[in-house]
Amino acid sequence: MAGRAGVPSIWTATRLRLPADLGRRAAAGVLVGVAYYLGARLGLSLSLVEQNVTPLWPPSGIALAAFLVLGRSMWPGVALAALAVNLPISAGFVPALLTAFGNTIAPLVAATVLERTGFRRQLDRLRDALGIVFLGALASMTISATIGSVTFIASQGTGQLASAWAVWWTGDAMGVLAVAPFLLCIPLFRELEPWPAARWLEAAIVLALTTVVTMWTTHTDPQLMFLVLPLLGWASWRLQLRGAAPAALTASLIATWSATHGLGPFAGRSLLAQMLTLQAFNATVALTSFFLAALVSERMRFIDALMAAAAELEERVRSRTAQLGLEEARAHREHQIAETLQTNLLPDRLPDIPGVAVAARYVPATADLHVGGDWYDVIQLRGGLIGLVIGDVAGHGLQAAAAMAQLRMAVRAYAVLDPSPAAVLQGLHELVRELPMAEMVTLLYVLYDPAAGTVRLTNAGHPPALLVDGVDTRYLDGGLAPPLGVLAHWDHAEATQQLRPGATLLLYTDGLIEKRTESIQDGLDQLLAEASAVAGSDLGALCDRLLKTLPEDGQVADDIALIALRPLVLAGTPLSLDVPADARVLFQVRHALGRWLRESGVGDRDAGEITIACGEACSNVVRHAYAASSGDLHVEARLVDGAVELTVRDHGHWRRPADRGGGLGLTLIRGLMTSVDVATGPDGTTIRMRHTVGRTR
Amino acid sequence: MTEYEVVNVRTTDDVQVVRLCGEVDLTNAIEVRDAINDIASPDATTITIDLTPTTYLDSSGIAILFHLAERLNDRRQQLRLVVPPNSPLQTALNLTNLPRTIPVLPTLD
Repeated sequence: MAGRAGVPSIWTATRLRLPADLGRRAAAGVLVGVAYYLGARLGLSLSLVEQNVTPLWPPSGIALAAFLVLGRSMWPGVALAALAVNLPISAGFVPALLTAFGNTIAPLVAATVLERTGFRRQLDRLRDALGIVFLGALASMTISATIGSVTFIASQGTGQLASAWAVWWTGDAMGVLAVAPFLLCIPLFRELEPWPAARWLEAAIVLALTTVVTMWTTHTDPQLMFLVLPLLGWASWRLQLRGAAPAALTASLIATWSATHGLGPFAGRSLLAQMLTLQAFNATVALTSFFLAALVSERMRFIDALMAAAAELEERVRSRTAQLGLEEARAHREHQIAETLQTNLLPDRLPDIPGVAVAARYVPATADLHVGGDWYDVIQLRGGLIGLVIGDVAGHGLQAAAAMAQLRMAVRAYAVLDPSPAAVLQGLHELVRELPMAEMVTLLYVLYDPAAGTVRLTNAGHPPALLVDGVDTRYLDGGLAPPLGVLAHWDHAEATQQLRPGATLLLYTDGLIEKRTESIQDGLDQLLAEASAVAGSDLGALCDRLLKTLPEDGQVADDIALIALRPLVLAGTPLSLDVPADARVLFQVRHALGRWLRESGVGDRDAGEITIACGEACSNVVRHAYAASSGDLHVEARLVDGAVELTVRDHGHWRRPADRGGGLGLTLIRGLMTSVDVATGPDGTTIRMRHTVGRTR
Repeated sequence: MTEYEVVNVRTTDDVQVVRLCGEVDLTNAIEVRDAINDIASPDATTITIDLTPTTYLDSSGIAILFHLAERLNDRRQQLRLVVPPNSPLQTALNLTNLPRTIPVLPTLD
């Protein structure tokens, strides 16, 4: 009574919050009650003996389905309907009330137990089928059977409790097995994937065939009721619960109706035989349908899950592949940029410096696909000075290449301002301190003065330059400084060294001397030995030879940059220069000739006069031979019988001196030289000059 | 590439001494001329260009000397050159008859 008293207050509170929901639930409760009552009337109409022994009690199935689908709050509707059903057939109000209590509490317990055990009302797993058969039907209905049969026997005063209990129990259990799955399948039509028309047609055919076969087999003598089983199998297999439950219910109802009318297989049998046959049939129908439907559903869900997993896997593989592709593309692009940067940073052509040979090589590491940070440069500076740079930015790839690009331009900029090694290195040092580079930078800067025959150098943490001069091959270890930007302050000292004609200055990066298996000192020793051995060979051949013999097994572990400079031996051999006819080379030609004259022992005054004559001849070629187009200039000098023979040749077309407005240049040439011969032809002009010289040294 | 330097050495008794170091060829002759023009004082009666440290001077360099002399003459100033006797420039200058127009001294003194 306490519970009842509490109900209105809960309802009031609930109504305040959710009036619409409450109305819906009340309406649902009324509908459940009505359905329960009608189900009970149907059940009673199927009694085997008067209104006593009911083999199929649909209300228990209706109540359980209502609790499972609509919630246990439907219990008042069930309880009131049960009371209404029992009042007319009970021996009084109290027995009716007790029976109604039993009829309500049993499906409530069933619903609670099922929900606690994780039951899914879709009945699509084997465990759900097992749950509704054993927990929902067989176990829970012992409650209503016990309460009902005890009340019945007690109120009637006669009868056997055991048989009453058995009949009650089987009726309730069969009601659950036949009706509950059918009711549970109804929401599925809305919840699951809708059936196409063909599926509906198939369901209709199965249902019709089930009806016909059951009707027929329950109206004929031979025991053929099992013929309906294949149809139920079909329904379960093809349509699962939504096809099997209606068919099973139809078959059970028809069979029960036939039994109550003593038709076909039930004709002339004892009550017990009728009961056993009917219940066995109904149980078989129910179990066959639901187990098979559950198994098929489970298998289909398993296949769906498998397909979904496969699809997901495929999708993941696809997206990962795409991602990898992007990464690879990006890495490839970065590599290309770095490679392009570096290729463009290395001089594509070394300058032609008359009287000086320069050779350079760059060999990327064999195994490493990354672009290294090694670079070299040859800078022609004012006053005929030549700057040589070799540097190494630690690290690889785009960053190293970019750092290298900045440094290369910085070296050029500082060298133009002041070519002296100490000044250049000081500038670079400050730059690297100001613009911190993540990587360490080593650098060797050499300033070669062809006129003085000297090199001045500073070395910021780089492997030492090698002076290759026959037996006097050695490393130049002066002018040392730490790698760029490492220390805050460093007074950059420079070392000066004579570089006599024929000797070679070799700059390189650590790839040439570093090997996995040997110490750096071994590498240095080996380079010194190899270089001494080939000291006299052509500069390009010397570089190639070193690159061929030094790396282990031809494997280049790290990038190698190599640059070599050699003042050519001019004395004793004719001088031969081939340069572009450009005003900027006049200076170099003059200086190369000056060095040749000096090294050949020609006196200063004679040398000065010859140099001016050569300069005038070359100026004429530059100014007049090629008009606006480019061309070449060839200068040759040789010592013959105490005289210098000088030839300046071009492949252009001179305008006549008279057209040029005065021939001051030619006047000088003719005046300075002992003899002059100008030969102009279709292939160009050749000026042959001769100047007798008195040897002064 | 051809290097030169024009240095204003001193001015005494209306004589300005300008030193030309390095080399003069067709790549820098006009620059050298402009540099000397810029440095030449309008107050000096005589501008002396010391060619002692000049290591190379070709026809384009000689041409600017003529040009400078003419310009200074217009302003009633005189151009003089100093060329040591052993200078390699000596012969070239003589060949152009320059000493006839521009006084050439062996030393600054």
